[in-house]
Amino acid sequence: MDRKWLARIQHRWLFATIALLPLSGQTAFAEQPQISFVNDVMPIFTKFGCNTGVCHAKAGGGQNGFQLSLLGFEPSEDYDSLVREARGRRLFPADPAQSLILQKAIGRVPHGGGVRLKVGSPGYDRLIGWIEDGMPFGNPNEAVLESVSVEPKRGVIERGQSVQLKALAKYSDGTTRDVTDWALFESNSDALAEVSGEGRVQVHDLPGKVAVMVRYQGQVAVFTAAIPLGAPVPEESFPPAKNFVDELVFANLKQIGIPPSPVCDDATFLRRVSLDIAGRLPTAEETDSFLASEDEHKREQVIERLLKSPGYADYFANKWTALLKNRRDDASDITSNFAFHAWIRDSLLANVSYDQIVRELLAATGTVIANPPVAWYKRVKDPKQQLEDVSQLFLGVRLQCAQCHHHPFERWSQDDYYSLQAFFSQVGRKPTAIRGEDLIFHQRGTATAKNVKSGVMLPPMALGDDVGTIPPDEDPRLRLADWMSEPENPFFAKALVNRYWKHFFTRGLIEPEDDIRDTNPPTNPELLAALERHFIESGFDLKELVRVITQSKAYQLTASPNEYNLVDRQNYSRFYPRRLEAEVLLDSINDLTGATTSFANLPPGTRAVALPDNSYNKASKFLEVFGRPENLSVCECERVQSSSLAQSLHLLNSSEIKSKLTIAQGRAAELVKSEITDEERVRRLYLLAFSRQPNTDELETATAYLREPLIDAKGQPLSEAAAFRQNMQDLIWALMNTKEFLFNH
Amino acid sequence: MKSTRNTVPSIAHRSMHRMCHVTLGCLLGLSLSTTVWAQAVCLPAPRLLTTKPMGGQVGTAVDVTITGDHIDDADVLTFSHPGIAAEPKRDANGQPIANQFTVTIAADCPLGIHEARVMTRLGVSSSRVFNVGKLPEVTQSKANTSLETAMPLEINSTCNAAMSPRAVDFYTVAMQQGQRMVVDCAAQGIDSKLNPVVIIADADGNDLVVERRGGAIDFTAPETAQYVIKVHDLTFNGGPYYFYRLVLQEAGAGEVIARLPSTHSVSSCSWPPAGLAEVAATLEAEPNNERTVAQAVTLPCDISGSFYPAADVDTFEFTAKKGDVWWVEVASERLGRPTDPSIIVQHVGEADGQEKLTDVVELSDIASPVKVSSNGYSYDGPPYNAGSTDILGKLEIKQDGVHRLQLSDLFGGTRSDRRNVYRLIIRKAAPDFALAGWALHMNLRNGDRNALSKPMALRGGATMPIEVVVIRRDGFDGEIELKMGNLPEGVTATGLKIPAGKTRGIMLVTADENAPRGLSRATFFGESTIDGETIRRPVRLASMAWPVANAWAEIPSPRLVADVPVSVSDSEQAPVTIAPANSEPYIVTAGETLTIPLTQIRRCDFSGTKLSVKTFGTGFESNPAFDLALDSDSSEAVLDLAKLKTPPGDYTIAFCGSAVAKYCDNLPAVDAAKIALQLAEEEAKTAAAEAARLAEAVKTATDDQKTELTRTAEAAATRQKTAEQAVAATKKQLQQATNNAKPKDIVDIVVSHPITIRVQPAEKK
Repeated sequence: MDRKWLARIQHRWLFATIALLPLSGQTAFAEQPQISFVNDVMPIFTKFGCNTGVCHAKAGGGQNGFQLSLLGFEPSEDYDSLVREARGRRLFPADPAQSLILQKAIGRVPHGGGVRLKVGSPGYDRLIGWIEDGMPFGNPNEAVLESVSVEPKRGVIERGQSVQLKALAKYSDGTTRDVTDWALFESNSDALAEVSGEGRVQVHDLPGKVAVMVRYQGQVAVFTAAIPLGAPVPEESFPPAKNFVDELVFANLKQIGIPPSPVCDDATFLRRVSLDIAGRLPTAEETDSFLASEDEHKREQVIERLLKSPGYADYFANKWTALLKNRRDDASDITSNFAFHAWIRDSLLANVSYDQIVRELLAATGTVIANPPVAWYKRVKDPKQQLEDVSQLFLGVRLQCAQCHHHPFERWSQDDYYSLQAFFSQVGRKPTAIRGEDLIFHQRGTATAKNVKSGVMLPPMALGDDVGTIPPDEDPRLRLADWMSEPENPFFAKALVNRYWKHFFTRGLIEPEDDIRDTNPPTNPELLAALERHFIESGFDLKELVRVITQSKAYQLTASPNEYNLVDRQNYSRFYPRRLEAEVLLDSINDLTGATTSFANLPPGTRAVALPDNSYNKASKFLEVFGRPENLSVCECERVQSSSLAQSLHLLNSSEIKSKLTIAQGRAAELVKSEITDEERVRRLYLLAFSRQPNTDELETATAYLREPLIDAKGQPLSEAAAFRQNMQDLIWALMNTKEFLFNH
Repeated sequence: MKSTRNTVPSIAHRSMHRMCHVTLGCLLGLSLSTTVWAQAVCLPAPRLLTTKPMGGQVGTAVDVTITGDHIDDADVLTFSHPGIAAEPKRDANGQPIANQFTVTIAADCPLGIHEARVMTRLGVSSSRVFNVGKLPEVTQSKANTSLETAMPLEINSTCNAAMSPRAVDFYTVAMQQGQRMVVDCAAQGIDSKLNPVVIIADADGNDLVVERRGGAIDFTAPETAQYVIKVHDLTFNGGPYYFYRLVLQEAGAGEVIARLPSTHSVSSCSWPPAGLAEVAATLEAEPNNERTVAQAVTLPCDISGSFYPAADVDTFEFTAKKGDVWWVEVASERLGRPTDPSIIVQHVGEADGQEKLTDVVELSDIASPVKVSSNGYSYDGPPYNAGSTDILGKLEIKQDGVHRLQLSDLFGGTRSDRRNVYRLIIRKAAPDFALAGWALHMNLRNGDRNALSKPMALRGGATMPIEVVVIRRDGFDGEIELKMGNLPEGVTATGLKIPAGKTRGIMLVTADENAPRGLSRATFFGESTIDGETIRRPVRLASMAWPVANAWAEIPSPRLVADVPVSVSDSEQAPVTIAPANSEPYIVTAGETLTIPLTQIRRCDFSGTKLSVKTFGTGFESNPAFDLALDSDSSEAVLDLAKLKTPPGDYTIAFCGSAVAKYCDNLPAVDAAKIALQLAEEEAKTAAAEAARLAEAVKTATDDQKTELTRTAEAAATRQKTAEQAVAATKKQLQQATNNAKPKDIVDIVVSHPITIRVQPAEKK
């Protein structure tokens, strides 16, 4: 940085500069510290949002020609913009209050961003003072901000109460300053607690864990608080712990005073675990057998059976192929998409360890047919996209921001970004006979990537970790895979267990599940750490992870709230119901109605959870309406799980559903033809739809309904047989439209 | 090379009855040929596409049904090995049944891959793999696409089957607990379009083990039970071209079961080098990944090893002297493995007490001798790659001392497969060459991306160009003469040599206009002089396993073929024959202009009046393209030797272009149908007269005669009706044949007969 700024001050400011001379000697500096542009002025712009991406830090010129760096990450550029650019018109040293920057900020001159400062406020006065001081950039030897901390760091706050946070900045000269007025505060859950601009945390009525991020000049600190419900949590309200998952979930519940709901009944468990592991409803026979069994280990046994079944592999392959962007853009993609999907599916079926699956994907070489994970490199061609996808998906770290600037909420810099990209810099490609498909190989050479900002060529570094010198002959991607699978890796196992926890519990221990950072702490850090440890010690065994989660009593709690825990949204004191995913719902409707859905190129009877790519969404309105993703993003959020009117209308009125109800070989026809009693018919339908027996009221209502007479459109009575058939279809239709059917609960 | 020659009797010389039979065959072929018309590229060629079953057990006879393009009149089924012979199947009347043969496999026929072809009206067909195995064989006879309809199989048997579209084939097999079985599925290696997925499941169909990458499944039964084997295509394609052979073999503990044999890639044409020992002298010894445990070797060396486990690097160290030149060759991809070997050789020195490595050479990939077609909008080169991801390169030692060679697989970072073997040879220069050839692929118009299998089935008067490329070994730079032998009567071959330092030559195979129908297994080779010795190497012929109409929709599948059958047809002649007016060499003085008068025998109309041609042949290839008149019986080629700067010597050249012929398919079928109709009408007329006569006779018959006469009259009336139906059917056939023979636009390569030129030295003034 060129510090000869005084020599270049505009001629018209000389008078003012000279007038200030008596204050600008070394002695004066020593006695009265000069206002620093970096340490004192920049925080004002950040605090009042001037340098956000939607305001003067907007790419391509800021606002009305006044450009600041995003969140003040480039102070020298900002200084130039403010002091020198536009012939210095933004500042008026002769009369600082008349400076354009202040006139705009207080609203005296029209300002698109509105009033940002009040006359006489600390920020206003500091800017006046800085201008009066001659707008110094600062002393070359001045202290540099090293870290920010928050006080208190953690706490327990009763519902309805508030607490004031204090932000402290620590500098390289050992001094500490209270920067509460200039820091930014942000709650990770406004439902639990809101935080004011001045750092006061106001807790609402919901119990749980909340975190407040404190940001100041690129540094961050986090305040975490438990908000107890304070309800009685007697020991007997907790089921006996099955494993460490229960111990840690229940410990948290005890800490914040939320009693759990009881463990669910067998029928609910069987339906829940079948849907969550194999993406399907249990068959009527499975339900009968399970309910009749008196084996005390029958829950463990059904988990084992499901984990061994191809349904597990199909269901989780469906999840992973979406995240890995197995997308059909061209008809010729079919072979690579089928191969890639099958590779994941077969790997899951054979329970290949997670680190090995990721290794095979990351360092894939060869052709798609000989080595299907190569298809990922067909889909994701840009090395930047490769690093961003890998980072977000496998490490839970979103690095996109760091491509252009320091990550505002994290420690990631552009060097971190490009040094991660360097791992992919030696991916060689050779054309094949197949359009759009390359052979992938390791191209000998020293892996580097250029930080486009600094121009420096960077060697591979794994999120700041040194992976050693990689010789030109070695594929750097293998070194990245090695680093990921190290037991000490702080990201890899954590990201996966959090993702899988969310799969079974609806809410991740960290949310969003792929945004793991210091400033976004887990709601139960001990549990996350224990899961991570268990996963690593198991050798990254995915089935074991599913096993330990689903065997826990915490997973098996009923979804029905008790008198206290209805408000709980993040402590797992009960099961949080969720709507069945598009594919699972379609399969479930087919299972209930006895129909099938035909998918192009696939054998009749192929289940929707076994579809290899997104191309079937076009043909299936059902899949589209219920939010099956188009495999465009590594984010699970691409799958739409919210409800919509279109979904209700589709279930109520669509010809697709009607045809499933009325097909000749369907469930309704089968039950009408079968020589069983109406009660047995109803019982069978309840087993199929809800995996349970109907209660007395349901049985009475349903059996009575089956024999109700009907009239046709002309008002003529339908024959008894016709009415029976239609009533049977209607009953199935009604069951299908219940929340009990549509939700995993 | 062992070869056979046989002349097949002309169709024209056969009996009228046989003619009618053949005619029927020709007519049946009409519907199949429509797909070819749609391509409008290349004249119809016979292609054998399926045999069912796809092989048989050695020492047995098996009934085989064939299908293909333009093969409906096939009367001979022939194989690349004399241990397999076929006879047409015959009906109760002793008449051949179309497309059915009884194939006898001799007890001493080698196990493995052989190739079948048929002889048709148009000549010899493209080939299809025919397997000879040691196990008993069964053939799928009905759909088995569900657990309920699963086909039971025995261990130690081979099942021949074809996949149904959008389906999974189910089989069951009973196994004892602990019994080990290897399940292998031959598909693409035997020319199938199937990309097989093989699954072993429990009795309820729940998948236990899945293999999708063409490997075999080694399965040990966890309990005594019925197991299900499922087979399907990776993308659930199916149909008769998606055939496969499922082989179930019992294996003892530790027993290694060899994979099923398969065809060879075009790249393997350059393997092995002549005289290479079958087994390498040295085995790679692990651990040798790190420099500290490098395996010491002495040059020359011949090492076999494998890229195992994942990311394996095999390090070898040897001492060499400055100025030494070695040649390094690695085979792995050419052994059929999906690998990409790479070598780095470094000199190991010392500086400041530290090891100092200096790169000497980095070796990878054997470049294709000619530019291979890209996967762009239209073909821009041959769709055959004789190059390889293997290694063949030079190592020049720059300084004395220890050298370290690291061999790795660029595709092997994450794959642990012991089958990924290699052979590494470092030798002093042993100059040599390997050759591959294929029917010249025409430069197509934009968007044309078909890759067609082209058998050497010559029409009378045609010249077929075969593109020949060379992989040169160890610095060999000499010219290579191309030759063929054992050709059918009336067929000649003229090689346009591969010039010194170049990689491409052309073989012209020419049939006389009136050559008799014939078929022979030819020899095809290149000759060169190396160190004063004449070296002869075979030209490995390549073809497409399938005629691919659109390579954007279906990836072509080139492979080497086992033999070089050449046929000539007397049923049809080339649309045009371009030949020099004089068969004697044209003599010209260097630097002067040579005008060659050409005769053009046109046997059909053409679209357009001009044929733009290029010149083939050393010394003349830079001759600019020029036009020949397609609407004339003669043309002239003018060669300006001053511009070409062709030095004195003897040359052979040819002119090549492509023309759109108004092709009339199977005109003999029209004639045959006319004759058949004439016969049928005569028979109907006779039958009608007889029926009328007998009807009259019944009227006047006595009571004693009446019963008998009535029966006879009724029989005659039935014969009349049958004869009239035969007339109607024959009329329909004639109509079809006539429609089929209507002119259609087909573009194909047109090559002149070879022209010899003697360039004399210019007189010095």
